[in-house]
Amino acid sequence: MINKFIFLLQESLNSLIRTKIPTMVSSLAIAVSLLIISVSYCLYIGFQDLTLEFKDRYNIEVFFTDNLNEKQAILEFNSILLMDQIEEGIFINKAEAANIFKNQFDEDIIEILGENPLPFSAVYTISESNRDYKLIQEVKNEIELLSSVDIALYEKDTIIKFDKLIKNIMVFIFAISFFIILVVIFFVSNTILLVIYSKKEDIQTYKLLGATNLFIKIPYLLEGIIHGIIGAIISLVLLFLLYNLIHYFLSPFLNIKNYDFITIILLNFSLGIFLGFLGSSKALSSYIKD
Amino acid sequence: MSRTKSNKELLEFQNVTATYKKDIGIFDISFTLAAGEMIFLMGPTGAGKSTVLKAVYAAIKIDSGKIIIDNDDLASLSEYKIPGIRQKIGMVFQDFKLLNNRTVLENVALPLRIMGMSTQEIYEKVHNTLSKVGLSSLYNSYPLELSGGEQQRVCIARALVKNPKIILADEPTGNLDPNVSDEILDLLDIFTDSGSAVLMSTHNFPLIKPRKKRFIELSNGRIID
Repeated sequence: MINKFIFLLQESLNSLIRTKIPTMVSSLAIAVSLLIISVSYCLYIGFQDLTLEFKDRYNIEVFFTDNLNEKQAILEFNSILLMDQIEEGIFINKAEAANIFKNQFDEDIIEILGENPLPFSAVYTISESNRDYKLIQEVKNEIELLSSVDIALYEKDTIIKFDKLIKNIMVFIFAISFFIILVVIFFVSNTILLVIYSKKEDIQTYKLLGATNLFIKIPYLLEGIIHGIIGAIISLVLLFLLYNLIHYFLSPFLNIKNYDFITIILLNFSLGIFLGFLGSSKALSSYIKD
Repeated sequence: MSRTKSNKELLEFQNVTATYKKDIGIFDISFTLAAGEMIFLMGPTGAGKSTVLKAVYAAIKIDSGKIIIDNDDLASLSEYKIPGIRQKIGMVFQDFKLLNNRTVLENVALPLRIMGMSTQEIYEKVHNTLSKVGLSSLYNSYPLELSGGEQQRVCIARALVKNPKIILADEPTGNLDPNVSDEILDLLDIFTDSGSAVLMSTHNFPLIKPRKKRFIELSNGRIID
């Protein structure tokens, strides 16, 4: 068994040397696709961090009714703070509200009106698992049911738009990756098919000498896998160069993230091997029937 | 579908019919091939000689009858067992079917590689066989660097290297000049001395006549009595 495997491995390595151009074309196709998928993955990770940063600002502003004194308002503030969907909150008394007003409008409301009409209010941060516009709406509705609450507000339009944007970008990244995978499988399959066609007389001889279909298939499957490995190496080299280039030019302006390179390396090799194997399996299934 | 045969019978055709399409193929063929025997299948082009050989190495489906090799009936053999049958038979072709990008040594070693032998064992057997067919010095050459006769010797060496009980030779002298053809027949003849058998197709009656071997004459896919 081991003798056969060593021979078949040698066969596929020899075939790689004999069919340099198809090997190069197939490996480059895999490399380009892996590069695009890796860049998409990095964008996805970067975007996820950006999203988390933005979603930290998903707040609900609550204005309490006028009939509450400060002590009652703080009690109501604390009862809302105990809700599962709330992560943290800041209570704003009338004086602080007047300060905020002054900061925002550059006017002293007490001087203008002779009194402070601003209500007690609070700003609550939504817990991480509830940072979605539908869930925030549910929290808002629940808060507004309280008799002590006059109104609860959040930046509904912005959050809806942002959530939709995130979903669309994710769908786009996955769709592009899926499409690239399909194209590459088709491409590798056709390249291997060309190699098989160029060796169809050899395959016929192998069969006449008593080779099983598996014996004939293994070198081509190994060849596909090796195309994938070469593709992954090329992709990683290009990715390394690209990363350093971006780092060199953009690091003065942008905070370039340090990615988990082990994951990216594993992603490239596993996806490269998968693409090469699937491509050659597809070619073999259309040429050698079991 | 196994049956017990006399030790001397290596191959038996029992009323075999195998067709490509209606009226083209072989019909009701019966004969036996014993150990140490060399049989020539004679007849003009299209007589069915190659089809008889194809039926033995399971390259054509048998419509009726039985072909018994090593107690196995080919007609009832499942598809996955065919490679095993082919590994037991040595085959020599008119067009040699050598791999042109492999050396003589690699070509001859191929059946043993398929059988999964170790490299050491393979090299011993291949060098032994190449010396038997007189090609020891050419082991590192490529087929296209050899003459037609030499290429056919490589093909014979590839058939002999696994010590098969049966050799099938399909017009092995078809592309060779008369002197070389005689040498090829001598080689195959020597092989029968060790108790194995040769079934060879040819349309060259003058070549086989002096050898006084048994021959089966075919016409339109049938044996002529």
